[in-house]
Amino acid sequence: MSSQKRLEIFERVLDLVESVLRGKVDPFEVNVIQLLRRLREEFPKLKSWDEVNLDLESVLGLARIVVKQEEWVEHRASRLFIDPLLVTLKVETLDPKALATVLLKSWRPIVEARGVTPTFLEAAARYWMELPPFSGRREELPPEQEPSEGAELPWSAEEFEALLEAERTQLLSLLEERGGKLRYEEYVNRGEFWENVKRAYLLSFLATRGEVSLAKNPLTGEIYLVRPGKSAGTPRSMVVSFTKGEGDA
Amino acid sequence: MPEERGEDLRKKVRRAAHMLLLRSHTKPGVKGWELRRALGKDFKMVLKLLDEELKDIGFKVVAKRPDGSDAGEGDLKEAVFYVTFKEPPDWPEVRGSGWRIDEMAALAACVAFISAKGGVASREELEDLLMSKMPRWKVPGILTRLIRAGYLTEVEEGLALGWRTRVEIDIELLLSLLLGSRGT
Repeated sequence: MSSQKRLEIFERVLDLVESVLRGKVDPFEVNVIQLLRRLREEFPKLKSWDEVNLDLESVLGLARIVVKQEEWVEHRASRLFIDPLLVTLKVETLDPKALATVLLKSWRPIVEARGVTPTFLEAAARYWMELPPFSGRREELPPEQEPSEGAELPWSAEEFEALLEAERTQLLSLLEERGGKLRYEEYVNRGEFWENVKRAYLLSFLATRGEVSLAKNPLTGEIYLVRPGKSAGTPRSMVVSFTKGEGDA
Repeated sequence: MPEERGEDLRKKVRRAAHMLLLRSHTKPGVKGWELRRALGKDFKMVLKLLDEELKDIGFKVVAKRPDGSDAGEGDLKEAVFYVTFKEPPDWPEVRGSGWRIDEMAALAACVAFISAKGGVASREELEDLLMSKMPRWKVPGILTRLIRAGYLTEVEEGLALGWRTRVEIDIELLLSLLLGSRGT
């Protein structure tokens, strides 16, 4: 078998491991024994350290799948096992007050008093001693700018809401066409400069209202517009710089 | 002699109460070895006496292993000690503490769903579940608050139960109450 084919096998195994660990594939759908046998057949033919490393990674990945299978069996056998579908149905049929009552009856909150402790006092004293005088800090602040006359929005509240709605409809249909993901830059920078500024401004409102989400690829730094609520991690604000190009009027 | 011993124990009980009730770290709770260092070898007896004192005002001392299960006699040094309510709080107490009903309902739903999924659920699954009960725009904010408070925690595969859920909530009881309750 060629080196290329071997690499494909490793990649397939590693992808499978990733899917199982992310919960996308049932660990029992993976035929671990067959895959290990395949890796064993290939092992004597490995030619480079890269291949050995990939082989090692694949074997470790398969071992993690076995751990997942064990956890699955333990969970099914435990008293806590309930079908998630049943929980979903129960949650959907109960009103919020009944759900809150369920929590209340099984809840014993931690009791804690928040006060000034010696450690806190010590930290506060240290901070105070190191804090530069306010007059010194104030000098560093840039002078406040008076808002210019044309700084008010050119739209009334109703007009602005209508603009937002139009932008939202356009964006969501475009996202639908592109499979739910669209490059931010591509969407914003597709007209004249002030049109682009307006689009970016409206987008910031749509993102704040949760009508659209932004996702950043940590490797390339590229920002994408995605369907609301589909981004991973804790919601947070994102700064997107907007510069005037040479050709912009 | 017995009087001196009694006075010494009383002082230690007061010290234990201060340590457990006043938060000195970012998270509440005091490790067993810290209590042993501060209270001496008889720290278990001191904690038992404190527990007796607290019983009258509706609190109790609990010891938990890092995974949230109750600590046994053998692993008290590694356990983390907390003071918790002895019985579940009443509605007026909860309302006074700033909790909203929809937040409590969301927490109950998340804890039950994550437990049923074996300990981890994807953020999307939880968002879909909560959106069936509350406006869409509220959901990310509530999840963030539950994560910040330590009831949920972010892991590679999604969201799992946080340290506070393991200490404060009797998950088995919650599941049985949820399944036993009638919909409206």
